[in-house]
Amino acid sequence: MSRHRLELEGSRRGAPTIKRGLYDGLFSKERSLTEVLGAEPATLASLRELAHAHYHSGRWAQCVAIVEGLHALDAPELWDPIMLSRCHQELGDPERAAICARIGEELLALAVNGRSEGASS
Amino acid sequence: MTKLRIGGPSALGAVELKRVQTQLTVNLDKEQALLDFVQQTLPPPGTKSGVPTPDGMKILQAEMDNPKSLVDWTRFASLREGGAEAFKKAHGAFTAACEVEGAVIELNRALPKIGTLDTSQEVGRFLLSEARYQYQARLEILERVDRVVQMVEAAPDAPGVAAFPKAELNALRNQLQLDLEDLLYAHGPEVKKPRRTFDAGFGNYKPAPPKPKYLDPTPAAQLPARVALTPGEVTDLKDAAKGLERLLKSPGLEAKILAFAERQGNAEPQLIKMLGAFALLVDEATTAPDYRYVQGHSLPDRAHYRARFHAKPSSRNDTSRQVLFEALAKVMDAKDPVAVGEKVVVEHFLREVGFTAAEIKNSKASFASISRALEDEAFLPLRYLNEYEIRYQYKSVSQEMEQLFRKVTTAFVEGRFEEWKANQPAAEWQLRSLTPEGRAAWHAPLETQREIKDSKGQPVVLKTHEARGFERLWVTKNHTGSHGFDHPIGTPCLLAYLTNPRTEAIIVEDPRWPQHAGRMYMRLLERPNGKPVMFVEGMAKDNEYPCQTDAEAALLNHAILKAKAIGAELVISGYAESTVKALGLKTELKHAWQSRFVLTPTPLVEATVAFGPHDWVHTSDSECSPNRDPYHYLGD
Repeated sequence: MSRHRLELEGSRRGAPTIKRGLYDGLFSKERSLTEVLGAEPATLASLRELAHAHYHSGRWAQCVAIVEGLHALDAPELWDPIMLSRCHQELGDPERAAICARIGEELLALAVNGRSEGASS
Repeated sequence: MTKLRIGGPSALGAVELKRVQTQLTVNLDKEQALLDFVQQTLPPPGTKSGVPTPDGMKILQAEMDNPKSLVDWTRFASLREGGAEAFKKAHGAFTAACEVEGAVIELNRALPKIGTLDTSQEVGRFLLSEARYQYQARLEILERVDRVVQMVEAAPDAPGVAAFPKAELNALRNQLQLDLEDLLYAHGPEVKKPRRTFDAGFGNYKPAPPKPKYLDPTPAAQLPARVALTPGEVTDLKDAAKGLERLLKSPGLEAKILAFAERQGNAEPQLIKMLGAFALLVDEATTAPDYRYVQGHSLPDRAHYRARFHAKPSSRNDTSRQVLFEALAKVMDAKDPVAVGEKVVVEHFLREVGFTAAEIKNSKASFASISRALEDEAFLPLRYLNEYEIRYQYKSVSQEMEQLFRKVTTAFVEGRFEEWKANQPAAEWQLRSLTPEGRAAWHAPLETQREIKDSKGQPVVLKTHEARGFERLWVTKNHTGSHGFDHPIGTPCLLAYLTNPRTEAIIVEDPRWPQHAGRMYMRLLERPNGKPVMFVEGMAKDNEYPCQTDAEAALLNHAILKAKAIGAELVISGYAESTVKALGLKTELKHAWQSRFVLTPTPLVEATVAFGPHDWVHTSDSECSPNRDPYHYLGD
């Protein structure tokens, strides 16, 4: 009985697949998750808008979920850690808030002042 | 937390930094390391302009005016004064940093982790085994995918989410989970072990904490979990079909096999037996190393092989999977599938363990003997013995050795090994000191029992027996020793045990322990005056088994009975001194030079450290004496 007659591959037809080259690139760090999934920049932009909307309306947990999702997709913004800091503060988690504030502050210092400031010893 | 400094005045060079980031497992101070990393990669402001979202800038401005803010905004007066242009410039520098090769990935992998107080260890490709690296890398990506899933679930009806490629996200998640399952199956739970951690700097490896001392054998704590199929798992038609579907990686195969079996008069015992053997064969063939290229990868004990620690993906495994799949399809298409299936199992087993096409054609191996070989896990040792590359010190006798290996493996697969070993031409010489009754008693295996108490005072019965059949291939694998079938020095030691009729092994088994607790070699020697002597070595204990003295006592009791049965004097190696004393045996300790024995010729090799130089070609009579003062047993 041939493989064809066994119809073993039939169930896989039509299901979306991940391209092998892209998939392997994830582990060699040559590809981002956004590339592998094929997410459009417009989609990411509207997700970011949604995160901001949640932020403005005080839905902190939802905001955190989306911002962390965007970071997992390799789509960050400079002030995301500061935004996350506020979210965690409002959610009553001062430890996380302090870490996010510190990282946001240092990132901002590096971006504003360049290489000359913020170097650690 | 210990930290590895990256950057700063005494910064590592960029190349070194990259190496650290990508190749070493380091226990990072997660915030500082990230900041330092950014410091290294961030180009001067204004290098390239990024476009921040206007709302993001508004949020930042609002945060600047928020009295509860945790950020020290006095540091950013220029940002406050510069307005939108300053924001854009800063963001431009940030995005430019992100566009530096690799930086964007590293940075974004770290940020969410910091937000969730996760650790920030890197996967170290060269410090983890390949399988563990692959597992950890996939696990890490899966964690990120789960974050994206949480994001999608946080706002199911939002326009951005509606356009999100959810099907691809699911496909990626499924693929990652499949990969993880495959790796776990192929390499066992060890593949999930946490990464090694390093103290500050390189080379300061922090060893694992010492293992706790166990009074009683506790397999779950001391041995890796079994991954390999057990014969008991394929005695049912459904289980065998399920196993075949999983092992052949063919979704839908289980249903096809069940439908096929129904057409054949469902649940016929012979059909189930054939399919069960087929599943065991696939399990072995798709995980076994290719010993033509991989030799001397010895694992500590049988449990590690059952946990499939030896399994490494190879093209031979993939080919075997494909070939066996086609063979199964051929069986299902046959008019007499049971007869064809049994023949296929025999042929493919022989092919897989290294027999040539001509040898397979002339082989007298039956389905019964091959099925037994599969149940007794003989596949790996047989493949190794057939594909073993003769090493340096035996180059001069490589042809004889190869022939002997072939004779051994052929006798095993044809189910006549015991007969072959007992009737070796060397048997006449080696057993010449025994009477005919004594010789019969030597070949007749004994069994004994010895009751001991565990740490709670409960009785436990240790059983001893003499290894027979395929068990002989594993009897030397109960501890990390050179006699194992795949030890880096090669297989001459096992060959000596398998081919010398004067050498037998006693096995001790503990009902609380899933593999042999220990073994002891018995060797039939003779005095220069021709009187028979049975020499026993100390116990080779299973590495993790804790009850050394009790197990060795059980083995010595067995040896005493055997020596009486064959009518020989018993001499116990000095290596078993503590147990001889603990048992209070009536013995006489003699100097080694007073204990002279005749070592009769072997078919080719002898192997022992008790009275020889480990392993050597031995084809003539010679006198020898033990390496350590032995105890001569004086009777009850």
